[in-house]
Amino acid sequence: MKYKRIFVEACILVAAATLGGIGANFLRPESRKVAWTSGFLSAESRPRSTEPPPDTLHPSTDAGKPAGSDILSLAPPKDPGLVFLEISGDVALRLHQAGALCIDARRSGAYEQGHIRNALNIPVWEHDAEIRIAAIAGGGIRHDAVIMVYCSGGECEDAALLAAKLAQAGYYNIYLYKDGFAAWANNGWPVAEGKEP
Amino acid sequence: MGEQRVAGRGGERTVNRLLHSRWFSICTRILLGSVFVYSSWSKIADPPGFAQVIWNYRILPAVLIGPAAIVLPWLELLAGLALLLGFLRRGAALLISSMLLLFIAALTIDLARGIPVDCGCFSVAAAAKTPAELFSSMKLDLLRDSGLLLLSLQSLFSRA
Repeated sequence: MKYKRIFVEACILVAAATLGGIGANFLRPESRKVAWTSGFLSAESRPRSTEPPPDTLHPSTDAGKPAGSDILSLAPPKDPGLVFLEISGDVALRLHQAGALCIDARRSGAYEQGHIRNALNIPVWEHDAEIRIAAIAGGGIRHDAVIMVYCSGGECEDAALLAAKLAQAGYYNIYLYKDGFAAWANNGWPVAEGKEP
Repeated sequence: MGEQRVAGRGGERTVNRLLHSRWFSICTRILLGSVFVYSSWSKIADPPGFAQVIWNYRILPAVLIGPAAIVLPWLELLAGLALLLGFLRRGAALLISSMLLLFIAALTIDLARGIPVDCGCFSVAAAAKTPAELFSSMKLDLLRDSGLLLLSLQSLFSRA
């Protein structure tokens, strides 16, 4: 048995697979591309947050003001040291009604099947996620804007990953709706379908 | 006692003959090649989905997730085809053995850490499974991959 020959055969296959993978990735549509260096977080640097104890959740006396005004007073107080704060239930609905920027971290196909009304879509696993995040900043969304990110809920960590990318882009008022889209829809809260928010 | 030794050696020779028989090797290659070609397809069709599967294992360094999601499915496809068609077959068997060892190690690590993951072996679509169902699937996946590893080692070391 010639071990050198086996090793050479394996190297040929690895080289062919690398070329095939890179070539196919280059030719794909954006929703099917993976960035070669995508800035994925390591397991150690996964964003962590804590949910505030219930007595710190305070409905604002200014609730009902026009969207965009005093929205922070509706949100639970967030430690500046945290990447995001987890929220659930009615807090998420109040933020949505007050005009918080909602961002769906799920795949584009799942978003089109149904999403929180007015939510943007930044599929964190698709190639153009960084471009879409840059577009938010370029579109005049200030770094102190209240942002609510969500995904499927349950074990889904896509929203946490998106929150970390948004934090890297300079946003610091990020709230993660941990119940996810399924719970939102089950509650009968505003949803929309299709590619548009 | 002497007769038992002869019978033992006879049994050993039969197994040896089987493991190195041309027809057994061909069947092994066809089975292994088919499994890997089939499993590569959904990953090639949806690299972002596969990247998410790799991420969920919480093992690979972040910088390697993109390259792995791009290259690994094509490696599975080409190694599988090489086995099926009979070219570069020992190199393909070496790569498939290595990949199976990798999958077995990843599943074992996550079972030991108590992290339920969807294997993503034949589909990258998120499966609606409870953690208990995921752990059960992981154990079955371990058994399956161990069996496939034995077949790939046969392909690698067979004299046929």
